[in-house]
Amino acid sequence: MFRRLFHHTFNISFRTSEMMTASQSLLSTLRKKTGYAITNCKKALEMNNNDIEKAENWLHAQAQSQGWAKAAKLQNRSTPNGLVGIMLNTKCAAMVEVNCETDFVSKNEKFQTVVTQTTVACFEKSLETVLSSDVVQKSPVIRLGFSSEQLGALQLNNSSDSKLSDFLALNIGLIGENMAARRGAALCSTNSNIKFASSTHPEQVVDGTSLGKYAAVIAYEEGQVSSEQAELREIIDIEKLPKQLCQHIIGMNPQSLEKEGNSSNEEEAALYHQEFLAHPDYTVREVLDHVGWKIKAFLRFECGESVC
Amino acid sequence: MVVTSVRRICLCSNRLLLLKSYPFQVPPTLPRLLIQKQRLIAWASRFSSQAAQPAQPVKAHANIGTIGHVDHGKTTLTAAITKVLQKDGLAKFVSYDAIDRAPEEKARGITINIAHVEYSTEKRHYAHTDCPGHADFIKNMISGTSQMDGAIVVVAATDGQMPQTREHLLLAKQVGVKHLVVFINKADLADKEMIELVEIEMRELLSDFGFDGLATPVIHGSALLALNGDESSFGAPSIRKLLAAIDEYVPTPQRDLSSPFWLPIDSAFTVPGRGTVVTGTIKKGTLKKGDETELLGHGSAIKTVVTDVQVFRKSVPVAQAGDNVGLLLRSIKLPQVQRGMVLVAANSATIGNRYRAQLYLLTRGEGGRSRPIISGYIQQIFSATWNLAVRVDMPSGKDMLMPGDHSDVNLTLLKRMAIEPGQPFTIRENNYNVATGIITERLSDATLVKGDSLDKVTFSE
Repeated sequence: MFRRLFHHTFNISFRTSEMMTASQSLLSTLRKKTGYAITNCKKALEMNNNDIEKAENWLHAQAQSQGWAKAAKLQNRSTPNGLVGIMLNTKCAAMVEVNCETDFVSKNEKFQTVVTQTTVACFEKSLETVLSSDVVQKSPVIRLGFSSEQLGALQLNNSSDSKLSDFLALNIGLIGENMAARRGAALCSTNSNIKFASSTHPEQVVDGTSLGKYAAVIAYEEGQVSSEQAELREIIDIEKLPKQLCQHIIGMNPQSLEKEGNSSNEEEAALYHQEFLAHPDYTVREVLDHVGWKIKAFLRFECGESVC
Repeated sequence: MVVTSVRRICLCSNRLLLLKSYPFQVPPTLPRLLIQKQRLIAWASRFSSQAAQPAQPVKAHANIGTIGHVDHGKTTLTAAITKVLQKDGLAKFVSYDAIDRAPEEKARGITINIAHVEYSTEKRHYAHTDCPGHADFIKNMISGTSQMDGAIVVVAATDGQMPQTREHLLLAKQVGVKHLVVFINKADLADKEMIELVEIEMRELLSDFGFDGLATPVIHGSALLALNGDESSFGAPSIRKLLAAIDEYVPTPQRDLSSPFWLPIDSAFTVPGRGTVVTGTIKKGTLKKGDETELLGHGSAIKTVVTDVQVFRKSVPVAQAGDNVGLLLRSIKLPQVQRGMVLVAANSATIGNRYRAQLYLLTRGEGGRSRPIISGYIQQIFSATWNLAVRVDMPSGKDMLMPGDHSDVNLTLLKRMAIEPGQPFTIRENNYNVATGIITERLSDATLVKGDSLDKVTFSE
């Protein structure tokens, strides 16, 4: 009897006029418009005598410092989840890893925007580095690496005066989980014979950036066909091959291109000696020889993996 | 003492059915035959001893969980629930730290970060689970250990819903939770207007995600106050309100008596002079003597009539879901009955060789593969009492599955079987579990191009 009554009252309370006023209140409007925590919206209205425009400006002004405060508070919490983002053009392929606490957040739109923005910033910086005259291109493919601090210091492309670390802190304030732009890497080349391809797993594309838990990039050169195989001609789809090679790198986790010693462990970990994931009857070398390609370099990130 | 034993019985009675009809791993052939023999003996002996089972006055059981943002007080709430119920002698207090550790647990070979807490209200017994991540909830669902019947969404009145609250509700949808109860925590730190706004926003969001936002109970309180023994309205009373709301709003899972009859066959034997008897525990529906049924599985569908129904060696006119029965089948020869077959109400089910499933690929650390699988992966599938060759294909748009991934996949079986959605299975490679999952949907049959091989199959999407 009590339970019935109790349940009933809840349905009624929802329809009371009080609730309706709350839904149309300034607080509700401000919260809907800005998405900031309710406590902050409330404070903003109180400090600005319920002037909604002033309150909104105050919130935006406060958000950055609030974010930094939150980031400082959460900085010791571990961030085992996250996403890897990739962006590439014909000259450069850049890859970053951004971490968060739970895999709920890594599926969230806001967090994914953080990853794409970080990827774009890293990509533009890499491109700028390789195009600037003071970098002498000794090898055909240049590798760049970015530490967490270097990523944080990058400029956001959309607003020239804000740094990536500010943007990250702002989002820590909004999402309420610790986050970190952990590392970045890029392969670049001004040599037009070098081509880039990438893949992420599970693949998701947001604003021109590929996101996933795993990511791989290859830099390869198309050349003369040295040993074409009749059986391979039937099963290899040249359009899909660059992506399949990246998927192979994600799946088989090679440590090097060629083996240097003679141990069988090294052979298993050398890309050219591995069975090709898409067609396990052939090795990667056989497939590459068939089409006349050479892989010059590759990068692989696995979200949350330990790095030395 | 008495209380605990009753509780244990009621826990078992709900799971017995599942465990019994789907052993997680089918042992190798010889021991399996032995087990079957033992089962037969057990069955026969149960017949002779005429022990009438007295009905146990057991509480109904439900599985619930907590979902919400990391800082909104899920763990504090769970601890507070046990604290409040301990006073009434209905639970043993579990501290915040004990829950927060979310110990790694192995279920069907999968490692899951999960905390289990157990408590009772006056009305029901609850198994409460708390997982830190989306993947852990999914793994918990796939391992089939406890299907969540309801969940508490915890949201702090100070923050309101977070961007990732959407992902929390998506998860609830994904694991099949239909009934949510919202607990607005930290209500003591917010004013009335804020709490109401949070409530309105939550109801709107719930409706957006296809839950009944209007009917969903929303409780305002403070888990921390309750944990500290506070008796003001946001303290312990708010926890009691929450529990009453769960008792009321989350329905008790019912034995399915209304669906068509379905019996997974445990064993079969011949009674000289009478015919073939099959035994097993009725999974759903009811059966009367003389009902028309169908024996399904391993590519065959044989119509037959049940000429005798026995429960505990006594002929009964009707048997229902949960009963362990022996059924005499008209004009069925023993060799026609194979392990893994099911007996169903005539024309209520058909056999098929293609199914959609939710699959989790074990990591190397869990004893699984170190390499990914791609479409066309062929191994042995073990489910219920049968095993068969199976082919795993990725859904369109996916090329591979990495160890640790969970995904929708399409399964093609070497022979057509009768499988129900929800049935768990494992896939083994060289006698190691490499994948585990549940069947979610029957798909249109595939044609095996070579007849007896899964290397080449064709099907329409």
